[in-house]
Amino acid sequence: MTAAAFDFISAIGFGVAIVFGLRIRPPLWDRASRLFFVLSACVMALVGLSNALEHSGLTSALDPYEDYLELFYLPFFMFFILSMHSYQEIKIRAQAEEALRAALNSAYEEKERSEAVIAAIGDSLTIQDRNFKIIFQNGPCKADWGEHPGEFCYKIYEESDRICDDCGLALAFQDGKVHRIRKALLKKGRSRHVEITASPLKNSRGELVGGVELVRDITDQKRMEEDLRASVKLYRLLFESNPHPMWVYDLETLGFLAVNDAAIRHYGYSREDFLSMTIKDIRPPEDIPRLIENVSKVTDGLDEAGIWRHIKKDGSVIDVEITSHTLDFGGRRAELVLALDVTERRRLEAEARKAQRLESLGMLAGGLAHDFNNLLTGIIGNISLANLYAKADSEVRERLIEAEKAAFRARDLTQQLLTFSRGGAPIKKTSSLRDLIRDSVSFALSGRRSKCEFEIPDDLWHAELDEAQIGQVIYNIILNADQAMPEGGTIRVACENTVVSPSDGISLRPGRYVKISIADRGVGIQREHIGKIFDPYFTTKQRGRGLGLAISYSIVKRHEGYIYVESEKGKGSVFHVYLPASDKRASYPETRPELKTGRGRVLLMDDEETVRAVASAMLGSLGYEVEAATDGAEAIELFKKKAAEGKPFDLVILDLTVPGGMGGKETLQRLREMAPNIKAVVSSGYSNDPIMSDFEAYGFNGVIAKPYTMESLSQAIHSVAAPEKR
Amino acid sequence: MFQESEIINLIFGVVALSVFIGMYKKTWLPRRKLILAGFLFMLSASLFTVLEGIFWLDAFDLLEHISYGLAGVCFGAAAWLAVGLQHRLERGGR
Repeated sequence: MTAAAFDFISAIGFGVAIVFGLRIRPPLWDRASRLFFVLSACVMALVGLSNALEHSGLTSALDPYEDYLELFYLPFFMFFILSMHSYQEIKIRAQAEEALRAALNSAYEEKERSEAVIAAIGDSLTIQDRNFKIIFQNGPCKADWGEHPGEFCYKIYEESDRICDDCGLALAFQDGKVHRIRKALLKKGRSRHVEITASPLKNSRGELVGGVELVRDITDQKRMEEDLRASVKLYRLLFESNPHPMWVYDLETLGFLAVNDAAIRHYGYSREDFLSMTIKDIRPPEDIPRLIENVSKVTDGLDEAGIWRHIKKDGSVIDVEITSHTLDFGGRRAELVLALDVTERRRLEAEARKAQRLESLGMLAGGLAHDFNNLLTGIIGNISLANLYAKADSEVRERLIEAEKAAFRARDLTQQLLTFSRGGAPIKKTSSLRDLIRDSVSFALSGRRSKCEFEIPDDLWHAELDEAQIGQVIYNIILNADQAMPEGGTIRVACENTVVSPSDGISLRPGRYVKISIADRGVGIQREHIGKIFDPYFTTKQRGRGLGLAISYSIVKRHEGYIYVESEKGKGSVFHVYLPASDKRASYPETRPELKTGRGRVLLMDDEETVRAVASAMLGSLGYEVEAATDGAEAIELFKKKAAEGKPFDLVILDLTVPGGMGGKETLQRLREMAPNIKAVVSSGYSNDPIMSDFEAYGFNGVIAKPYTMESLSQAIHSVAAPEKR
Repeated sequence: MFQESEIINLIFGVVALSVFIGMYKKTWLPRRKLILAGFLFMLSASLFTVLEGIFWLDAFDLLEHISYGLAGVCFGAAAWLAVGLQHRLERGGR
């Protein structure tokens, strides 16, 4: 039974072989292989089936033929084996066909790829034979120049009948190398710049068969190159021709890498000097630690480094405002620097601060002077009155005259303060400096230890000046000289005529000047203080206020003059004052005017009680009937009242400025509405006020500056009232 | 006693085997290991057929039938796997 089972398995296995063997087709097996395989499997299946039946005890019809059948299966199988050899050939052929197909596909793909690459070049490409006839054009070439198969290239590109003189392809045919040329061509009626690359084309045997010409439109590229060149030139110009010094320095070594012309011009170093230096070399040694710290903190971008001190080649130190920006300079981390010289600007700023301080001082001085004027009006007025009552040639009268002189000087000083405070021009007249200097010096040194020596030539030119102001200048300088010599000493005052020319280096207009030099042998001025001594509030004295020289500077400047000082510590100082000379003759003061009495009713308006009192007394002494008012409103009321009572005023004296009340100008306008012909005199301590100098334009008939004397008051009243009296 | 046909069959088998081995490496025959195994089993069966006529009749007879059974299995499997290979090739796989 076991044998029968294996026989069945054998029959089934061979049966499966028959079934599947019949399904195998070329090229896996060829037909002969399949035939012999199936035949051998059939024989074996029959033998297996016969054996199985036999061992199962059944009679098989095949049993008698079994031995014969067995003789067949091995030859069949051998035929099967042999037939497989033919399959080998089929396989080789199939592989060859496959390889050929693959090669064709590859070649086709290569061709398509090449064509795609040629089309994608974007530039015009032609393949030409050795006679310059076009045998291939790519898409861009056809689009730009049209389709011209078989035509000469020079006909297409240049519409010429012969080879171009600079033909690159002709050169490539000669030497077998690639040639590039640039030229201008007309494309679609427009001039275009092109770059032509001409390459020789050789076959597999290395024989020259033609050439490839690539025409690239470089018009835009050329324009960009030109724009770039222009841009580079422009930026270079912006750097080189910048009016302010500029440079580039290496942030690592601090060495200069480039400098512009302005830097060379401004600093005095040559370009070679600069390029061999570092930025430390143009800094004062004490600034270098700050510089190093600053450079270590440099960040990318704009940096406003502030004000720095730089040293020029001549050793002078300037203030510069530095603005910088980091940049890459030929692969180096560098900084572009713009240096703005602000030395002059800072000096002007200092001047402006000085002027501001002077203005503040002026406001203070103006207020003080106004009050002083009112007080002096009382003092001078009372002295004038006292003079009337004193006996002639008496000791009292002599003292009163001296007191009056001192009061006049005080008046002059307050007048100076007012001028200074209002910033007005000096009231100039042609004067001789001889007496002015002597009087001012004498006044300044009165009661002091120092003495004065004068050296004033007889032919000293006259000058256009405000005597009071210049007197104050002399006074201040003499006072300064005396204070510089605590133990006393000799002050030397010298005057000379001088002509200033541009070559003198003095900041004055060329012309004739009187030069006053006042020298002392005092302690001198320290070098670092010389530039500041004319600054307001600058003083080295414990009790000084720092105003004297500032006022003197201001006065001389308003006279279009010049003041400067030379000094050496321990050896003394010399102040030089230049004042413009005048060709006119000096006007000398008149003799004391006589009192002019009169009659009439006078309305006096002044806010200051002292002034009202003394002026009323003075006018009373001169024969006038006086009534006083404190401000404009009261004056108008009084004017109306008296007019109604039948006692109208003949003349009004109106104070120009009444703090907190109606002033003289407005009061007069109101009075004129009531009495158009009323005589009016304006009175003020501000003698530089436009109304004072041009009183008639404002409706006044006369003017009197405070403080006033009996004489000046009588003159002013008389000049206004007299015409009517006549 | 063995028969002449069995001897002839064995001789044929040995010749076919030598041819098969000679061509084995040159021929690209799908599933040729299985076919060779099947053929060896068939040749073994022929050998056992001859031997059973000389001695150990029952043992060699059983071996003969076992060899035929295994040969059928190998051939059937070789044809089945070859058809499978053919299907894969026709689907494009290589």
